[in-house]
Amino acid sequence: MRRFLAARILAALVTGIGITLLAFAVVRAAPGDPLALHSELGLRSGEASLQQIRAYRHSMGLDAPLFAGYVRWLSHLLRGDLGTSFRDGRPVLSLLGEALPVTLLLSITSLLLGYALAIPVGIVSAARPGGWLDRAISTVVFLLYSLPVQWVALVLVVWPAGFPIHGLHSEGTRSFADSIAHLVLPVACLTYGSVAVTSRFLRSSMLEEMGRDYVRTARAKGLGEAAVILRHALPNSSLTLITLFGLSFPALASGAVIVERIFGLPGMGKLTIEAVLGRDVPVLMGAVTVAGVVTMLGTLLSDLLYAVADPRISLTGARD
Amino acid sequence: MPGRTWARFVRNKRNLLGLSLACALSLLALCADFVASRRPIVLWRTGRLYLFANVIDYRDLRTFDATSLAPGDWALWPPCRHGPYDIPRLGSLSGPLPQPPSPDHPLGTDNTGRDTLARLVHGARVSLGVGVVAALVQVVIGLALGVLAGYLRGATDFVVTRAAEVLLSFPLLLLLLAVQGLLERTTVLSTMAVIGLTRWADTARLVRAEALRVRELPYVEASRAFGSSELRTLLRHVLPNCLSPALVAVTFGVGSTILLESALSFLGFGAPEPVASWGLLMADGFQDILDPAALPLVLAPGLAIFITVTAFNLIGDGLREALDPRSQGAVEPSARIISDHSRVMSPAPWPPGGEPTPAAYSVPDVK
Repeated sequence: MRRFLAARILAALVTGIGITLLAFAVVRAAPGDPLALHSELGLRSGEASLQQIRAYRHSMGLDAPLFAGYVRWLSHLLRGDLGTSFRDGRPVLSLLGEALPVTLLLSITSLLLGYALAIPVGIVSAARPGGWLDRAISTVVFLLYSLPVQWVALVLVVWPAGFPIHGLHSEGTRSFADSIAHLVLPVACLTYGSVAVTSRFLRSSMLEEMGRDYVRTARAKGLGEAAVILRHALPNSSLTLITLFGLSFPALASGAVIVERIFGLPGMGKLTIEAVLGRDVPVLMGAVTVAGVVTMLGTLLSDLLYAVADPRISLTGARD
Repeated sequence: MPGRTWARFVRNKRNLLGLSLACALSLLALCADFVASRRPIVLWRTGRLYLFANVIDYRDLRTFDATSLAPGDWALWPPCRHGPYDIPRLGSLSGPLPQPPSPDHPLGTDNTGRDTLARLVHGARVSLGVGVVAALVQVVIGLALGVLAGYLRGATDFVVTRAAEVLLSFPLLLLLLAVQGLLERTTVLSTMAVIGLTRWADTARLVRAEALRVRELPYVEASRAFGSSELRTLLRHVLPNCLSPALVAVTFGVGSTILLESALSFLGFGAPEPVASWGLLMADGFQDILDPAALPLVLAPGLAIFITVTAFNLIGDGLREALDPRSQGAVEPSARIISDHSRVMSPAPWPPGGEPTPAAYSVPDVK
């Protein structure tokens, strides 16, 4: 177990370095030097002074050769210094601190809701594979995969459902019920996809378990089908749901970008879009890095949970 | 072997439905100019014959429109008499923009007066083009890296798997936004390239798993024993046997890339205005979301994406079953053979937003 933990965390560290390197390289390698372009635009609109930009370029290693620059940037990053926004001079860290909870609220709510809905669906379709219910569910789920998120979101906006379609809360009110009402449509948009994936996944993993010897034994000793499914097959197949949990994060965060845009929610997606449009390099680098690191931590967490839940995994070592 | 796979593939009606839908859509994309164009396909005017005026830019037809047909002239029109970029003259407008559906504009117009149907038809070009090209780029990179990693193991394997994990760690849309946003201007080509270059990770993982299995098989050992070079073994024996997951990845990849492109274009970081892309059309509709006249502009592109992606997913699903009869549905569940291989192949595609793929959802090897 300890060896597995060490190997997994080491792998995560390597990935973490890769993420920061990629974030740094993307901004560095972009043609037409974003900072040069920015200085021109920024000076005209009075956003960032030339001095501010020079100071930023130096402190974040954008004027140094690639590797030296990366090291300098990384050392700032590790000390929690991501620079300040070109647009309003606020620290990037506090901007991210405001945006990240919104995106996490959206993704985690829809993740949990997705699991709550997908588990019964998965059980029902695995109980009678090939039955009419299973086929109907499979078809619906298959079609759900092909629906563009932005389309579903727009349909929900147009549909007169009575739920608010913009922002996190109504003007002037801060009541809990009001916030919940504002979350209904965005969360619905993010959830249908994870229901589709999770239920499909649970179904195939349950079918696999149902073919195993212990299930035959359970049936042979006269256990009812419901007990076989719920007490034997389900717990064993739910192990795979733990892995899925970590892997769902990137997709959810991607979906959240669109949903935030349509419903006007101040999350990571909105922050990134605004940073890109305003060529606000510090914010952009911070947002990309944080998005990568948070997703990686999600995957790491689910891997560790998996190792705790399934002792076999820690014997064979980290998964690739 | 390909013959048997094909026979298994066509046995299922759903696969044929997917295949014919995809062919029809590709045909529509290729012939977009013959379905929606401002100029007639064949025109006989003042004693001169203009062939394919819809695709060839005749100099004396620059100012041509339907009203300039004299008696005795003759024209063969495409079903929709508007081009995707035609903005009506101010004087000819009746009523506010966007216009609701009318006999002249079956799906209405956008807020600059461009015909929605024409833009929808021409949008198939961009969406399918980006989908197919980016999926091919992604799979070629993924196939090459995956085979190398699985066959060579060691340092190559380490670098490829770590790089794949880094890419899979990013919410793809955020990464694409950042990259596209920092380019001086986005084009259809840059969209293809950026999607293709960032999406290979899933394919690489799938192919690597297959290569790891194949390299231990007797025929690879036999090839080595006969004295073939590493390169020859790799190209002649390992690579061809790793093609099936790559083939499945291409078809699923087309679907998810179309979703991704539409999302990027919707956010304004994909195909640039005035290119007719389904995502951009939806973004145009979103501007006038509360105007009922813009409803077709919002809904129709989404349906087009939905149909296209479904078609390619059907093909992908069918191919997966045909190539690996052990995977879900092809045999009685009770008779399922439990193997790591089928586990890697089996889980279904990905959620909207165009991300994780069968590889990303594969179960860790439990031995």
